[in-house]
Amino acid sequence: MPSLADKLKSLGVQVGPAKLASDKPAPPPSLEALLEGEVVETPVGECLVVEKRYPLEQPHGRSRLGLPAASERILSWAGLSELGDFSPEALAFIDTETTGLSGGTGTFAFLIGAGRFENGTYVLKQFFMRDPQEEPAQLFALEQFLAPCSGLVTFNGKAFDLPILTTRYRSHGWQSPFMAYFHVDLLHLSRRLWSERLPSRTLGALEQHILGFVRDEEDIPGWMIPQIYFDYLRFGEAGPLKRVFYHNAMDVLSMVSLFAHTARLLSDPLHEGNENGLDLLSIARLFEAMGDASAAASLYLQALEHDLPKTYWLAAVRNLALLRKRRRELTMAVELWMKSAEYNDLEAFIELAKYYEHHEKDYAQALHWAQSAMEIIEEQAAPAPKLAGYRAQLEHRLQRLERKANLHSP
Amino acid sequence: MSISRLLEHWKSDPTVSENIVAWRTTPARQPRHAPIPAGVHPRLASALRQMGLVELYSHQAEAWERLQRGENVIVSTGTASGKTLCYNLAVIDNLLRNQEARALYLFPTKALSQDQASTLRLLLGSLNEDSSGQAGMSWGIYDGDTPTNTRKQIRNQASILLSNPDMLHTGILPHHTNWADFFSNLSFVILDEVHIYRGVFGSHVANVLRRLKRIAQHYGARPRFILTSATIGNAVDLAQRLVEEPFNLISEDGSARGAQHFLFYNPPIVNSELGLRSSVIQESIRLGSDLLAYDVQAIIFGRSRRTVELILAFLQQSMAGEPASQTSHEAESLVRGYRSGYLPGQRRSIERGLKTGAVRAVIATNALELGIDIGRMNAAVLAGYPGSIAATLQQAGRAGRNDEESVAVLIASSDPLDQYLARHPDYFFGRSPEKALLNPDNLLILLNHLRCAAFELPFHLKEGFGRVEAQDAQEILDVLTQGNQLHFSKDHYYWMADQYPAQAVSLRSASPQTVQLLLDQAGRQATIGTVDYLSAHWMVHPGAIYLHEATPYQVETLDLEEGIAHLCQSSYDYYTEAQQQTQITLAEKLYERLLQCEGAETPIGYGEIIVHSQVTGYKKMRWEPRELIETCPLDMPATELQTSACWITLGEELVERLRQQNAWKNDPNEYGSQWKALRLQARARDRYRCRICGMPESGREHDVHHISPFRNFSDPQLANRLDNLLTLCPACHRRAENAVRVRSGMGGMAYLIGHLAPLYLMCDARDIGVLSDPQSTLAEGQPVILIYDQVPAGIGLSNQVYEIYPELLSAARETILACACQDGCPSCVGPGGENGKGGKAETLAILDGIMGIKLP
Repeated sequence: MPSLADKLKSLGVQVGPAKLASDKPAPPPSLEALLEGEVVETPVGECLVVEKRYPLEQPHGRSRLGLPAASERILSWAGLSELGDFSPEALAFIDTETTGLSGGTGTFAFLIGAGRFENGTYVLKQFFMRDPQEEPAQLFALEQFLAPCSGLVTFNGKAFDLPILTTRYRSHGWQSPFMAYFHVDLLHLSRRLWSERLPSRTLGALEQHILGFVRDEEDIPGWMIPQIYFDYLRFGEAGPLKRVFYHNAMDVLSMVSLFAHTARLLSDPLHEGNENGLDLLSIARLFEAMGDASAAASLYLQALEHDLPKTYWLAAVRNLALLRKRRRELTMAVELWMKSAEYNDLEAFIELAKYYEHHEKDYAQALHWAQSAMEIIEEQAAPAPKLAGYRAQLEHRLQRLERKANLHSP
Repeated sequence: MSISRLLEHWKSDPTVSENIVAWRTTPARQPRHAPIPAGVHPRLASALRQMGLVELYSHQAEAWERLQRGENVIVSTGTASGKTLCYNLAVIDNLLRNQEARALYLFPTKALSQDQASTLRLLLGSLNEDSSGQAGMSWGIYDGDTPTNTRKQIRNQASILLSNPDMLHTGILPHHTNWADFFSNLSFVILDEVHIYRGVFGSHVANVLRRLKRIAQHYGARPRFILTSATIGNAVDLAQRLVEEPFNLISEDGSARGAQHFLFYNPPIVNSELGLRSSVIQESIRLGSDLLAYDVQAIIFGRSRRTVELILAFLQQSMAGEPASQTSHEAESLVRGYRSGYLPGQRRSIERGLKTGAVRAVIATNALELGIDIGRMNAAVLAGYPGSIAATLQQAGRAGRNDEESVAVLIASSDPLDQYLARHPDYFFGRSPEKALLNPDNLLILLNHLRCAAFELPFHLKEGFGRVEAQDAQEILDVLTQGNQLHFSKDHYYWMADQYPAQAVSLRSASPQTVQLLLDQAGRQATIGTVDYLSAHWMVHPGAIYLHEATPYQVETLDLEEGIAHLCQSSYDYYTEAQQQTQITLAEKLYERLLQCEGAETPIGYGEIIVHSQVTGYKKMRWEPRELIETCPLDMPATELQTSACWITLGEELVERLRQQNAWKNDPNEYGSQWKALRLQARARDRYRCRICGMPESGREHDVHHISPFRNFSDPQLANRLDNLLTLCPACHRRAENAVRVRSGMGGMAYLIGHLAPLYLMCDARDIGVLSDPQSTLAEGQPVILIYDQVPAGIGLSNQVYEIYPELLSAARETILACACQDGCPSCVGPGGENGKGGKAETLAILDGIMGIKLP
């Protein structure tokens, strides 16, 4: 009678080495010493917690860890302007290390790093399950630590960390304690701010290009992390865990630093000595999207002072011109369209044609701009669908203008 | 509606009536009604009355009573007998009494969910209308097509969730924490059309249900089950194997039904010399045209996608000439196709057209076999026997979905099985539908679902899985722990791997990969359909003419890696036929054992095999007249089905004994030394043209065919007389051979085992393949009979064959001995061709040889 494992093997199932679960060495008693943590008792069992305290002056890259001074703009971007006067101590920064990226109930957050400001220092606690049995205690301890806070800051937490935490709590029949917390996801904000400038918006890229922070050799690439935990569970190999804890701590610290940096940038975009025109353009767009037209307009102008690449320069001029048009500052808008018309900007031609037809009633001028627009379209070898739409409108406009021009000509 | 006039016409026209080999009429049935039970919630009762439903059918009332008593029921009544109301009544009544309650409806296809949603929309619409301020009851479809931005709302709000087993498996159960509220309040689970859940698919679904019940239990819910099924041989048994709970059957159909005529139609003989009959396609077109002419809305079932497109094209052409519909455009909207590969939007529009009556005929594969409500269909034409009694009943049941008179016509193809049935219609009418079989404890399927279950919730040491005892589950969980997927700690197994196991398990054996068909038109690209990866090789190879809704497209390029084929539209007056070669090679022999019976020893091998198929070229065929234009070679990658197989080898000694008994027909024919000259003589006489289709030879010599089979003669000279020889092109030769096939004992045994093995392996006939090969590479050129898993990587079916072989062989022998037929019929070794021989005695001789039974 072949064993079940043999049977499965003959059916093509990958069966591991015949090593029983009980063969694995017990975790070394030195785990607490190794990770510099302590075992915490909770009503639902034990787990390991590593605590670190950082002074706010602690350097992190080019700047210091810092306390976010004026975060109104970040909050208003996140749709939380009603929070008004909140203290930075209400913020919890949170990042998880998981057994996989796929999500679902079989993905554990074996390590949860969370930090908050407390009396002028930054307190980081890392909640670790030495064994999946310790998950209830890990979740319980996390909830307790964050009880004084009312908001979460994450990097990609909306799509990843928070759904996983919610799942973990629910799988034990609990409600997630963070449902009522407000949430700022720095990844989304970073995308708005640095899409033009940076090839990638990972936390690593932001550390390098924005914060100027370099991790030491203890760091480990994220994709290796699940396997390190599995090896620890199966073979009691605890050493490499240290690097996972370092990675997690740096993720949280970089979030704190990035939050402070972004808060400063948004509350006073020019003060930072921000010499980057692309950043100014991005902030201007962000402000425009948030409905602050006057701040946006002045930032577009500032951005145009810089030596922007042509496409960005055109984009800035266009956006600003449209903003002016909407605010009925037509003279200024026309000035801008004239500028971009020098670069054969089709949309500027069309806007000018509209302006001269409807506002100046100067049909000859209008006809001139409409014809220029048509020429550009006709020069295109392979017309895009968008152009076809313009073309139809233009033909219509040209006909009307010719009629009007004839009517008014002496 | 002139169905009676059409039937009169068919009766009186000898060119039709002479082909009708059987005409059965099921008389109209009076409905048996029952009042709406007093216990039904008054709001529901009044909503039903508002919809004009003042009383129920007796079986609906019976279902209500049983459900009120807390029983699980399976409703197995006729097509369109109102099975849906059986469960809607109980579910909605419950929802009215308990606002929090939730119900899960599972349908085997997405199309069925759509269809049932519209029924539900009507009922709930009428209910919510008089809700007098109370919150309306909501429902939602949750499947792969549900937009991401509405999913959360459906999760949180739908009282009735419509989905399918695949979505439950990959999208819902692994994320059950998002559904906590839903599972906590889950009170009813509905499984519709459960006869689909058989074989491998059924075994998977049974395990998905084990997982569903486990999760429901985690949230403290214990839902009741209501199942519906088409007519099958073992409805209660199927329900109990699927759900693993006791079930009660409701099968007394109380609905009204018009008289149904069932016609068995054998196409007329067109070549009496060879006994060749007109093709099933031609006859379908002919009867289809009659149905259209008499304005009888009809569905025509083809056995393959190609058949569907061919019938569609010809029927539209013949319609375009009719005065009633002058333009081809009108013909195209009156006659539509329906098969897999059409896009959902197209399907919905065809379904709508059928309901409104704008579409008069639909040509479909069994994609429409399921209970999609397409309204009044007064005729069904089955172009060829669908392969089982159950499927025949399902397809024929498409006609007469109300109390009007209807007709179903089964047109026999030239296949031996079809011809046997046409000659023995009583055999067909006398048989009960097949049983639906499944095996939830198939080791590999079980293993895969234990992985998924452990992902969903950690397994307790003492926890069983459905009918699987805790200690048996534990044995498998231990293997998974060794395989580094689970971690055992204290008393639980935890999922501990960076994987999402449900993703790797497909409930349906078909390959999940598809090829998109892109139409390049004026610089724009549009997807006109999809084809599954394996079929793409022969359906959309470069140069292929792909028929879609009877419009020909030519394939320009096929990129299998990207899964994209580029098509262009043009008018082609030909179609293409791929030429495919299939070959079996041994990957690894895992064991060989000796089957010992009464002193006889027969080797049985088991191992991994590869079934190679390669499209090597294609033929361009002119539509009218039907002739070959040219053959084009193709350089296509071979496809491989890697699977496991079990083969029984007939040793040299046994074959020698069979030869002596004159029971061995697998040696190549020795046509004699004159054969070469005789061949040339026959071809010259026939002017090197096929005597059936008239096609001249091009590049390849035509075949020379024995009108009366060579094996029938003891004297080769008599067999080779010139008047017994005929020049035929390869295609016509194949058809002619079909009609006079002499079955060997090997073929007979393969047929018999193919039919019996599923009974012993507890699987569906589609899950295994059976082949006989007189010179197999699996056994150094010796004859083998091979059974293999029809599923990539196998599901362990063929590995059980060794254990069941003794039983299987004696069952096979008993079947032959008990069968009253002369020389082979579908019930034993399979029929010979219409004029051929069955090989019954030869099969029996092989079985006797293997089983060591001495001749008397």
